[in-house]
Amino acid sequence: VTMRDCPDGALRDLLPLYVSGQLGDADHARVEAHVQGCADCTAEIELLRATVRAFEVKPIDAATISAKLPTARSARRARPFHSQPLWRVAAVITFMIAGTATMMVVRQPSAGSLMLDTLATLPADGRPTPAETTIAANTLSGQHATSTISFGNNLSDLTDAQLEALLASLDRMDGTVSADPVALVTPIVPEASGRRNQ
Amino acid sequence: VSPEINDDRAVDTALIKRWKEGDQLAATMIVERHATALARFAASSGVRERIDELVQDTFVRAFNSIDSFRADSALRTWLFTILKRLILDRRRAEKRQSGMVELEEGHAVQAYSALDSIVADETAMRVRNAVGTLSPMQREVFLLRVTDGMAYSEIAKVVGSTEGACRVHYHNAMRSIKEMLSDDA
Repeated sequence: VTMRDCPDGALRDLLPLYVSGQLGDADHARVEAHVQGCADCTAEIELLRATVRAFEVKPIDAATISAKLPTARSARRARPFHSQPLWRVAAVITFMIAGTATMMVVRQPSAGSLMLDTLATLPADGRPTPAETTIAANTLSGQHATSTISFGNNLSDLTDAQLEALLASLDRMDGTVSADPVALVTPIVPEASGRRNQ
Repeated sequence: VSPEINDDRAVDTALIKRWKEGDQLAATMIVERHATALARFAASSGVRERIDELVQDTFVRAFNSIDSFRADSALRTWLFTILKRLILDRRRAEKRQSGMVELEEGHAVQAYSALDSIVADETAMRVRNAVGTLSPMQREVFLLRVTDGMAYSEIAKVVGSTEGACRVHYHNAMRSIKEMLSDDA
């Protein structure tokens, strides 16, 4: 025997609720009226009732369970501290304060931005004064170089030999950050004659 | 939502309020209203032993965290979700202890034999076997709909799916069961 589906899908959808007594009066009456003349729905209702029987279980002893339940007062005490509303509000406020403080620290001028500021104030001819160049070089070396390098106008004014001397000075820096910058080792002054690339 | 379902919610809400005010009898009434449905859900999920213990743990956990219950779903739906987590926890613990394989499709048929059914007529037995062949999702949706008369929206919250998907699972399950019973006849 093949069990068929009733073509009224909306009504079929109500059948489980009809069997479990969950329907309102109007829907209940509607299903009852339909089932009178529908063999498919009648068979489906029998199937649903058989399902309910198939999965019946022994009644649970409510009194035994109730005896183990907390009282409202003890449940309140047992609630974890982190789930209490006041603690949550305090956590959110602390988080916002910490976030704002972090943003303020991050936005303060850093060594890199100091160098950029210095370069941005160069004269119109683009050539920094010796003092400015020294500041920029110090900034590049993290403001804590173990030796100070200075030269006249700009790198293009140096000869190859002077550049090599400059690089050698840089090589002597071991990269270790020192809190005590050492005084100038050797000032390098560009020669009047013999420009590089000439 | 039918008026009866709304009434159910109103009753549960009133009982919770009474319990919060110190009426312990209200807790007993809540247990009486939902304990059997929880036991049935556990049994149909393949739990074979200590079902009453699981039901009890569900209520203890629920009452200890009743403030986190949102009235936008039925209390029974919320209890089912707690029970489901407890079932999973127990399975994981059992798996760790004895290297047990997790309950999968097909195992449910054996699991149902542990049910202490009051009525074990032939049709019910055949239906039980047919339900046992469904996928775990189809089985959960089908049984929540049929044995508890839950709305699809509430079933969706229990099984972690959508209302539309649950509707499809239900009708597919019903079709499969009908086919199986037709083949048997």
